[in-house]
Amino acid sequence: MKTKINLLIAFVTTVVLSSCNDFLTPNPLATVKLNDYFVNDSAGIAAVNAAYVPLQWQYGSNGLTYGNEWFIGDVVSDDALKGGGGTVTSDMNTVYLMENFQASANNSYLETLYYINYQGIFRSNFAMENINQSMKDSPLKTRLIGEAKFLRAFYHFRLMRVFGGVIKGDRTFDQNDVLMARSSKEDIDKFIRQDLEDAIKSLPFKSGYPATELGRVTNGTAQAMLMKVILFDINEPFVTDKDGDYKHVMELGDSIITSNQYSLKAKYQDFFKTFYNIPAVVAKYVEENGSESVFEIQYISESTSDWGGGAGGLGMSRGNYDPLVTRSRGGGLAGPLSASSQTGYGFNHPTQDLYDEFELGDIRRDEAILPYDSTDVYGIESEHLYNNGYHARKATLGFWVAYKGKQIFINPTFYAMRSPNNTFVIRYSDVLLMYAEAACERGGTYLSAGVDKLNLVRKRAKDSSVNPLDLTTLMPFPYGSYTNNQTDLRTAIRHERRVEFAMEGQRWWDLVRWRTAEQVMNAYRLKYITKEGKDMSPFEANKHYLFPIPETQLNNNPSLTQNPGY
Amino acid sequence: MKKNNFLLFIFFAFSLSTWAQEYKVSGTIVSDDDRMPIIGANVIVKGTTKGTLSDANGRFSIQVQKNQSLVFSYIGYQNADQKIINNISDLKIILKINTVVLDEVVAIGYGTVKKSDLTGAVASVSGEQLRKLPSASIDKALQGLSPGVTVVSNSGQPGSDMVVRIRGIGTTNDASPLYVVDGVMTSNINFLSPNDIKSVEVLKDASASAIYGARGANGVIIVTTNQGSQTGKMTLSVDAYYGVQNRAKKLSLMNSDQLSKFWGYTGTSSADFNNWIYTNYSNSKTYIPTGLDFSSVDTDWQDVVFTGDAPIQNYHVSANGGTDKSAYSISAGYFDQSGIIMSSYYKRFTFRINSSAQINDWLKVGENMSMMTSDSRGVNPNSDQTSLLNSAIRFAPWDMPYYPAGTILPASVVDPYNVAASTITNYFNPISMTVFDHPSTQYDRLVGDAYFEIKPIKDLVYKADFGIDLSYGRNREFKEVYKVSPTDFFQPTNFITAGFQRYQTWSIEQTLTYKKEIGKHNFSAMVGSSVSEYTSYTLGGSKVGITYPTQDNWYISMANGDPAKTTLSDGVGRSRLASFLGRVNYSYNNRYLFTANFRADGSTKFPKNNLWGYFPSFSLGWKVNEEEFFAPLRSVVGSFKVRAGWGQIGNENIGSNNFFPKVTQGINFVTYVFGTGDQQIAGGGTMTSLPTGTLKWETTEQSNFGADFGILNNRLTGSMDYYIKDTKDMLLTVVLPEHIGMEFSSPANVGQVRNQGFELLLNWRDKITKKMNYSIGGNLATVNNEFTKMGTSSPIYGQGFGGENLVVSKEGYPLYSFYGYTSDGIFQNQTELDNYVVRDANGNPGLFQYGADNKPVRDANGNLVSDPSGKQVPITIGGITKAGDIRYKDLNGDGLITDKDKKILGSSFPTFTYGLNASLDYAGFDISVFFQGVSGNLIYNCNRVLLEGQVAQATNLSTNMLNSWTVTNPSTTLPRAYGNAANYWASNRFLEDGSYVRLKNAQIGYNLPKKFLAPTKIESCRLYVSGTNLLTFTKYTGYDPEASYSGVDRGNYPQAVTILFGVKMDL
Repeated sequence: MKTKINLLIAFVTTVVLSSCNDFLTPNPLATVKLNDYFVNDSAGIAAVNAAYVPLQWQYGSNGLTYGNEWFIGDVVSDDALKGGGGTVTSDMNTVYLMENFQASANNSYLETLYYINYQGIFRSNFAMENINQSMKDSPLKTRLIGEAKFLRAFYHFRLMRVFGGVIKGDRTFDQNDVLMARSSKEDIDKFIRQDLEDAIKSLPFKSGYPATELGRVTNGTAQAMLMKVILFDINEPFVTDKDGDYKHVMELGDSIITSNQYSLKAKYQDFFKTFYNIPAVVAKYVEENGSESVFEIQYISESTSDWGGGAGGLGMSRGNYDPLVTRSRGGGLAGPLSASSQTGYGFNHPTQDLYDEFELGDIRRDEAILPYDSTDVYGIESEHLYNNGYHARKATLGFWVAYKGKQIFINPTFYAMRSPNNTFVIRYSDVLLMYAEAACERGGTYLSAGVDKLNLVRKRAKDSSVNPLDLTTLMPFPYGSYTNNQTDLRTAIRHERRVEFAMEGQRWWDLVRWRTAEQVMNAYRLKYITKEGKDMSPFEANKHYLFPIPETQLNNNPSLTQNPGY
Repeated sequence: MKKNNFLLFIFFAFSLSTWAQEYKVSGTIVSDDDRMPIIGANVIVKGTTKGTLSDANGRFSIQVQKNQSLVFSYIGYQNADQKIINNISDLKIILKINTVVLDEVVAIGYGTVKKSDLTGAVASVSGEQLRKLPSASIDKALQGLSPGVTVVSNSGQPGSDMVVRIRGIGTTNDASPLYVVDGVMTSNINFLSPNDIKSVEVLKDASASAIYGARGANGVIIVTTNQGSQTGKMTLSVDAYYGVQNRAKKLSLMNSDQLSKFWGYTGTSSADFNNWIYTNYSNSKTYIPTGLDFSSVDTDWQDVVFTGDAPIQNYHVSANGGTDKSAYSISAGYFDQSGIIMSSYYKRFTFRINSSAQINDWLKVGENMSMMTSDSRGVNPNSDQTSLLNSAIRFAPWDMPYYPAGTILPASVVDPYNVAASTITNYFNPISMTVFDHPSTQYDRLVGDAYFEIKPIKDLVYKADFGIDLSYGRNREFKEVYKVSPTDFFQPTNFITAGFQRYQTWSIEQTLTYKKEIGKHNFSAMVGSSVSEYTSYTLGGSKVGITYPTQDNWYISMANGDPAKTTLSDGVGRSRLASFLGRVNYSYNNRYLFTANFRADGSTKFPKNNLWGYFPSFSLGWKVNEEEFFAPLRSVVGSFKVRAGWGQIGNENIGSNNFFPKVTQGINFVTYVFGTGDQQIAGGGTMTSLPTGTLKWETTEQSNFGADFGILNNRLTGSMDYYIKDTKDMLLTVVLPEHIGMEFSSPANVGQVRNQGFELLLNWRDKITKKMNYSIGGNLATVNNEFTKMGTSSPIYGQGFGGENLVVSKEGYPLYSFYGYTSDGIFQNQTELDNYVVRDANGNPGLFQYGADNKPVRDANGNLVSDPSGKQVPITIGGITKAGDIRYKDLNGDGLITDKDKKILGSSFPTFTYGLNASLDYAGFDISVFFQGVSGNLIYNCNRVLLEGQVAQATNLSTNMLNSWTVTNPSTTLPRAYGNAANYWASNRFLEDGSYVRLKNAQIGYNLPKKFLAPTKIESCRLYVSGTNLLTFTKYTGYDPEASYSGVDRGNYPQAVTILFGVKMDL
């Protein structure tokens, strides 16, 4: 008996001991180890695809809020009011404080921006580093590296224009990189430009991609982006050769124009409408990634990725949240054909000031702005009582269709929260106007080239109903003799940018790069002092061109410094 | 000499002559206190297995041989011996009630020990005490019973788990203790009815819990369930109670009249009022039916969501029995609790069986099996700003819960139940949150083990134990289509989601125990091994569009909506542990006690080179009262023992697969879209969390010094302990700065936390008359928590309410200290505001340089430039500050209120916690009260942020706001309504003293007299009335000072006041 028991104990113990370390080091279940991943080209493609994803993010996790860029681009500028529910102050109060120049470091909207773009930077670096290590040289590898570099530059650019000089993400970071200091704005500018120059060399033309791959960044995208970056920093003290920079912008513009990859749509409104073929109620995305599209953030209509998007937040991926967020809160805009859930959150209301900027007969006004007294609207809504009477229309593009003589609102796919509409980042008309701007600033013999490009854009903008047979003549222009006077041309171009890209999230950045925000915003405040100006603080030039670095980041990283005045 | 021999001979002869003689003994056994007969007392012939039981009249009858002794015993009484020297027919045995149970046996993990031989800090609580509080699980009942054991309900929702903390928080990770139920380790004991529990031991110090190594760092709670008795007696017990629960407190909120006037309504007629509503606050006229009379409505939303007299009931039947060879215990229970907040409930069946059999003199086998099945529904209790309770307190009082019957709803409204819309803002009607949404959770659990014990030789025992903990969860939620208002809707199609989960832990444990007593040396040793594996599988899906959505059709297979909206998930997890353990106990002369433990644990959660953690512990005890020099004191101090211990224990309470880099694939977070026309999703792969390659065991090192004593004939017993507990290499989910670019945080070994404290436990037990016993007991504990060393990382900030950092874990302060601005009153008028200048560190107005533009000059960092000949700078707070706004202290004197002016404001840790109980019994009546309290902690009251801090006319408010600052009513405590957004920043304004004393339980019971019961087969019957949370003394203004373990009360589900009636019967 005793022997048997002892043998049993010995046996069991031995088995346990010898197999212990095997027992404790099993292969993980449903988990892909990085070391096993980069074995073929599709891994490299997947890594780059993943680097595009933060472009789509519009909502942060864990107490953060929306991250849509137009909350600054439009709302902080003189073009739009925050809007929203409740009274104007409470819903997205963080943005309300920003548009009134009262933002402080605990602003959760700004933290969302910070959060989203650095994830994009990590993913771009991750793709680049692993592709460089694992893939053999090939045209695909060159392209993928180019895409990743472009994306890295783009995410840095988005951070730089909000926060100034930021931490430079020139490689993947880990736990040892907590205490990173900010680079100077000059440094970041240089870094972005270099990435874009590299990307230009590596990326194919738009026509080099098959139709199923459209939406990837192209040679033209990178060139246009570089034009944008150069013009954004042109008034920075570190720019020593302004003329050289303007010259470079024109060269890049010429290169894009002569590549014949892009053209203006014949009608401005084509861009923002008629996505859906009524009455078949079948989605037709006729214009996405079309001829005028230089860079778009891609979305599809999708059921998943709802609020929060799963465990870590950062939801709304793959479906665009903008239409819901900007759509009217009331049911009055819905109309008879729509699903009754297609009311929205009512953010981003165009201002009277923007409405008044448009010239008579400019088709673009009614594409950007829907007035409350429009016959398009079904009934008066309560929200007009505390917001002004205008709604943003562009972001909801595709949802407006003609029905029995009225514009009605429709979304045949019924994903109330997530629209398939892409977000425009750079349209071809932007390339033309940036070109015009550079030409204008160079002055002299270049003025006429600037006028030509400006007129290309202006010609299209005329309402065909005013003169249906003649789309080539220009609208009368109230800004003086722009064809031969540099100051007037500058005024004309700045006006043109405001109306051409109205409600596309560009206005604030234009005011910033032209250094006109102080003058424009303070004038705006006084002009509307009894209305939206009443809660505004004066714009301080040594403070408000930048927004504060998020408090949580200063807390987590003592090497980080705050922007002046915050 | 001869004579002596002769006498000896006579003596022996006499003995021999009577050797075969048997005496017949009969008599009565009565109780010392009431002289009532004791039914079912054991009567055993000493040294034999021969015995009998007393009958319903306390009478017994037995044959004994001459000079044998009889031993009389009964549970709760001291044994009595009686030597028998002749026939007796009227032997009267009086059993004394066992008032002091110093030498009960306590479970210490892989064995038991006499309480007097304990060398570690172990607290014992009997099942009897635990059952006084009505609850699904006993963890709640542990509160206040044992010093150093903190139990806080994170939610009063029925069936919700409690947060149990033993000796403070040693880790910012999961600090929950380990439960060991009859040897099976588990993290949750919701499968046990409190009625099944015999006793609970809390192993508080390292020397006691080290034998559990890896899993014991946060303390161990050993649960011993009822086992069959081996006396040959069978008992059947029936327990039942039924009670009602109510809310303890209601917040004072404005009614319709108050709020409308507060918002500027000046009309007089009902037409005025309705017009005012429609003009100003109608969310959308399109959705509000016409013809409603808002002026006649004054809804108390708290009364709507708190259901009065919510029932709670519990029924439990158990049978115990056995012989000296085998024993069994079987029980079944049903627990059913409705929540005090509408639509929440928890129902549970439990079954339990255990038995053991001594097969022969070297082999014993046995098993324990528990089964439970529960059904519950919750009401998203603690979510920030969106819970049902949050919604209720903010809903306008002129809004109705339902529209009156017959109301004609506008065409755009889809509302089969007539649920009313909110006239203001974004709120969901609390009713719509419950009637259109149908969540349910079913949960089944099977926990059991089978074991065998072999005694190959004398003093040696081998035990093998095979345990399994298997649970299945099933959740299902159906959302109806409805549209009450533009924000309160679910459209366009109904939605079904369902999930199924399986969790399994299996374990195999083997121990070999050797015990030997040689003279004054008493020695025991144990070695063992253990392996276990945890696996989880989850399967879930969702779909839209059930065409005929009756309740019987709430299944995914019945949905035929858009296939693209179908989701599916299939998840898996696994972790393993392997351990080797050993223990040596040695005592000399019953005076000097020594224990040593050792355990080695290996875990799959750590990288290969850090797989194993090694955890030793030692403890010493000295029974001072056994010493000769103590003899003069013994008449006063009956027992006195001092003990000291030191040990290390490990913790691996983190997720798996965190130490190697991995690629996130799948649909979420990594897929993008390309193409024209019908665009296609393009798969992606990237890293969304960083690995921590150096991950290793968290180690808790603890020193404990304690003493146990019994004074005045053990009428006063007590113990005290002092401990220092250092958690090193604390495993913490580290939120890295966002520039690292990670979506998810990873655990790492960060810093060191010290908890130190003092614990005192005292019990006084005596009788006033022979029939009147009483006892008074109390306990007190202090915990001083400090984040002593931070490692390389920067302070760890945690979010509070609405995204702002509210808590911080920083070196030199307690974990999770509150962090925010310091309010310095209210600007009473514009002049005060204009004159409010920046002050330097000494409180003097600072003088600063002014520029040509007449604005203060700032340096590159935005700070003011000091200038002795300069001017004073008026302060800036947030945006536009006006009279009536909060004045915050500018702690760094830079003229701005920025995050640099935040400081640590205090802690949610109490300075001390205590419990006090008293009981008295007299002539069958018993009465007991139990108070429990904490002192010196802070609570951040988020409800006040909602009700007193709003920037817009969007919600109902506290009546306190009627006294908020206005020009004509310059309040000094409440800022103007709808003022500067900075008014509700995280500050000391919303931090409140969380101290409380609560009458946790009061109970009156009556034991029906045995005389009365005698004709029935009922052995005992106790009827009782019990009240829980009857009284609370606190300055805290929220619903419940107990509601949040983190110290942040987000409008958490409060505890109920319960009154119930119960009966306990033994057959």
